[in-house]
Amino acid sequence: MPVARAMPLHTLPIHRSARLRASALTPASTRPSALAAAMQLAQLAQLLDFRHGVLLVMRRHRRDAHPHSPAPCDALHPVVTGDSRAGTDFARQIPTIAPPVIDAVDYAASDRKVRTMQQRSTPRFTALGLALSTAALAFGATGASAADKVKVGFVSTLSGPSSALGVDIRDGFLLAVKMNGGKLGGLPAEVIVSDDQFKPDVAKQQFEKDIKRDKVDFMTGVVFSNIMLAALPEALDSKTIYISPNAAPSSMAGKDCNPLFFAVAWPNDAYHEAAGQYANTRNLKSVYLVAPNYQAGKDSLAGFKRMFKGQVVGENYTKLGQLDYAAELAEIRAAKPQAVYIFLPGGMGINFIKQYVGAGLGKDTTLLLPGFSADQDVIGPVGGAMAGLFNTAHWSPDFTNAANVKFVAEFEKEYKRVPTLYASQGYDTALLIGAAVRDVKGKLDDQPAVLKALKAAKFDSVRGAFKFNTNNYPIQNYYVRTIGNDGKGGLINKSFNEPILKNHGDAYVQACAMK
Amino acid sequence: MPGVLILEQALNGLQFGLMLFLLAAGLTLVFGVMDMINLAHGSLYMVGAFVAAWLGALTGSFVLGVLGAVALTAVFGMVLEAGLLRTLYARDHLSQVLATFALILILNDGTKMVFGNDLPLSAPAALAGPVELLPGLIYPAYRLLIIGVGLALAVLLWLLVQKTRMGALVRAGASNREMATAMGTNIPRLFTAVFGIGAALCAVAGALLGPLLAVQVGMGENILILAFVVIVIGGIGSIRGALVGAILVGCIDTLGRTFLQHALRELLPPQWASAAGPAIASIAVYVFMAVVLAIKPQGLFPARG
Amino acid sequence: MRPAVRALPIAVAALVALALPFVLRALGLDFYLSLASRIVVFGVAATSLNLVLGYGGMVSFGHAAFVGVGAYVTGVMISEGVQSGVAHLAATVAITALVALVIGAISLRTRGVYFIMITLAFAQMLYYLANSVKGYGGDEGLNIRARSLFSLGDRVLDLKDPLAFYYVALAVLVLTLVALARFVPSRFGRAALALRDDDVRAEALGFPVYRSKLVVFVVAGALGGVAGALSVNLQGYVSPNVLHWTQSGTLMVMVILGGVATVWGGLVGAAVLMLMQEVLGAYTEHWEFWTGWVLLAVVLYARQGLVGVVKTLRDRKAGPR
Repeated sequence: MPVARAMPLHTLPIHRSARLRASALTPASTRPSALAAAMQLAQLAQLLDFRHGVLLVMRRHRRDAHPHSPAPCDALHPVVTGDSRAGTDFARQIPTIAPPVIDAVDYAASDRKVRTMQQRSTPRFTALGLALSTAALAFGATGASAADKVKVGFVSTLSGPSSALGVDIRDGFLLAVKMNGGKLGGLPAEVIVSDDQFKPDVAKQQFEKDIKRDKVDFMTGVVFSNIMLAALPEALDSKTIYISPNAAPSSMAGKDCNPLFFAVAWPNDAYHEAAGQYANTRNLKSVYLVAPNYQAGKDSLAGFKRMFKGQVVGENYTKLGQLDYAAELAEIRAAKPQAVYIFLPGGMGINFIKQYVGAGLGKDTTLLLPGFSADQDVIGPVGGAMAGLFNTAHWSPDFTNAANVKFVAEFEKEYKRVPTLYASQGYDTALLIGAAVRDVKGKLDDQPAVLKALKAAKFDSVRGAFKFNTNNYPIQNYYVRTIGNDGKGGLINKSFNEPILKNHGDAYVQACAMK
Repeated sequence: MPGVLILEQALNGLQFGLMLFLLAAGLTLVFGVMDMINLAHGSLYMVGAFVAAWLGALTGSFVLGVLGAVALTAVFGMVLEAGLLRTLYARDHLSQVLATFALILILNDGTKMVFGNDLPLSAPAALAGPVELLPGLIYPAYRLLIIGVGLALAVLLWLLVQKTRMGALVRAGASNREMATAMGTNIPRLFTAVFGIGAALCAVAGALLGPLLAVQVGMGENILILAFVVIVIGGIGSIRGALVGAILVGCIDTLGRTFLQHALRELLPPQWASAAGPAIASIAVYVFMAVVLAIKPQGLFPARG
Repeated sequence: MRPAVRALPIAVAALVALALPFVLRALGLDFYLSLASRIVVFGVAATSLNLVLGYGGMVSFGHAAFVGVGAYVTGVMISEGVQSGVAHLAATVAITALVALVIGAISLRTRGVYFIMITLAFAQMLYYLANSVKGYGGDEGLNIRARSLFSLGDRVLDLKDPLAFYYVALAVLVLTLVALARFVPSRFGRAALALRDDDVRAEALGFPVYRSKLVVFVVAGALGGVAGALSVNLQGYVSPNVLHWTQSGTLMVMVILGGVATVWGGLVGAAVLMLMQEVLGAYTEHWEFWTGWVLLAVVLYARQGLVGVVKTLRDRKAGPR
């Protein structure tokens, strides 16, 4: 976990979002001073303008006002681990702005935990709780007119061997929010980030929490198709819009398509169709295929086979999350293919490529990759062996459109690393949400209007032109990239100008009932 | 199926089996000598991997990382034994199961707090390439190292148990604990030493497997159950049994996986065949254990006379 | 203690349980109804384990397999279009009982650590079986959109409604606890306890040891299956992870925390563990760390669990009789 340093307000790390949770304590007495404090608190919140998704941070004031009060709220700070210093620094700047300030410090850390206000049974706190609940309710229940903020629930894989994917999507998303001054489409944005730990049941529970308890306007974030398909019913059943920054299974493009589901990145098959087409241009005659045994894996090899005209000498589905590929590599060697095409995102790809090189297969067989196994998250750990490998993607860091140039520059400045395609997808998702919120002028209650605005997708994507198909999946170009020197001693992807697939949709749109 | 493929898969099975042996050896000693079911054994394997990754990054040397991990994990294991696990020897198996399960939870989160959820660990660059063993049989150098280390440790352990005084005490304790105590063996120190050796072996397995798998919290849980299966097959308290059992389990799993996938691919669509093959191979391991228990309830090489 | 006074805490508990959804809704906490439902479902599962572990004396490390089988049976039926809740229950009980019969018949021929290992082995076999059947999800798990339907006269109870689910699950729990409470002092119950304490002596006295243990094992397995059927209705999702040995471990933790060989032990343990997870989880992401220490303390110092401790205190207060 990065250590929080003392820093001024406007440079707070934006991937830590603090928010108030009005703890519903049983109301006891109503002491005027607490109520007055709550009202001041509300004014304070407006003053702070919800920057960086910070809704409310308050700090204790005037211990002497309550001689019999329990231990000071500073005791809360050790509970708030990791970010307490940033929060304390932030909080320290507040008393000069607005006394008397109440001590309810509440942080949602980037990985799934919300620290709640310590629930003490002193009358002061219960009255405060009531006051805060009313204040929060007053904020929330603003009727059918424009909402005062947009809430987004972000659930992604932030731990484990494939965490780099979720982390990048999150960082791209939050960068977009930050670059818009903590807003999306003109409304202050509150992004609730949680970790699904690569487990579908955990993702389901996080979805339930975000939708039912925190009442978010949009859900987004999931990396893996199996996790998304397990958690998606929570969103669809409660009529919450889900915008996928990554997973886009064929089922949701076709027979299961749903007006509440939007795929911002690509259809699952797309990169692999592009790779199959590229294999044709390279006149490859025999290919061995490897993918994990789950929906996206199935989609990937189906896509490759749809375009590839040569012979598939082997089709091996590995266990999702498998890390030791000794058996599969032995099979590949025995099959003697001309090329090997794999779809193994995240940690799976890193291990496979390392072991592939270790088994000496790189010499006689060409390794073809989709962008998922050839971006910075894999290049870093694998290293020099990646040089010269070809891969396909819808985006590359060297795209010259204005939006992308700005994105890459800001991302490198903020996070000190080159963005992967996952980061670009997170960024585009935030821009899409922002465009929709802007186009409905903040009236998020009017869901048909929001859906229409989302479908129109009037935003400047970092990939260039963006358009949705009738099934809410993108129609776009796909490019071939190759891994070359970045001039600074490292490796980076470089794209070829001519797209390998132009204005390409997906093969399932006919099965979708939406028109 | 070509012969080279079978050979290569057999080597893979041997490699997997030998790593399993390292875990099973410590486990069978603890169980045989101290009559304790230790579910936290997999956590020691995880701790070993994490320490190796951390030290490797700190010193920049893979070898130093492994050696340091072995030393530190052994010490950690001995402290754990003397401090906590000692109270469990007298208890019934259920209490031991539950207490060591609690220990898994504590160690999992404790590791997360100290090291984070996962750490990178790479094989040394010198071993990152392949080696040609026979014409046509190319095998990764790193896996050969694992096989080498596994075999060397097996020999070392055999020497320890058969030829040294401490080994004699261990064998005595494994075959009849009460009698060994009556004969005057310093039981507490012996137990601590046995646990330390078990922890050290775990650390070697964790450090060596780290580059192939991923060093992450919870990595011990899956391999732990297989280690238990191995010691039940081999005979509780017997190192020889652990070795034979481990190699058998490793080969059944790896070779079974390959053969079944080939066979099933004729019958089922590839996604189904790829799912069913490994699953049936894993089931076969457990069926094998059940069969062994039915025929020879004490295992293949029982230590208890 | 007089029966009326003894019944008071039970009456209070019943009242709280019945009124809970409305109280939560009034407080605006109706999100937590799903937590309450989960506690009820795990209470049933843990009680079924307590039957085989506490009262039967069999350390079955594969109990999660029965829960998983029940969940899969119901899940598969729903995904194939069979919606009747009664059909789900009947099939679940029948199939899980059959599986428990097979596993028990083989495992009960062994003793001690070998029994533990064999039950574990069977659970793992079922785990890999669930992983292998790609048609019903395999390791991706099985998603179901519909739920069980129960018809009461002309009304249809759809378990998709959280309120309906809560009360149905509560009904199952109450039936389980009542049945267990009646089982313990019954003739068969006393025999089972005798077997648990010393089965060699019991056999010498003429008890049919093997048969009695098998009956307890099968009944507990079937009950676990019912818990599984409920759980798939609650989650709308079942995956092979439900059958993993760590889930069996979690169930055992619940039984120990609550109290081995007590009627309420399973429910209390489930409630304590899940509440600890929720409350601790709000303060720190390392809640498992503290849970582990609590569990360790219970195993070492309060082996009889929470209910056991309460019982000891109550008996101590009542004085020598």
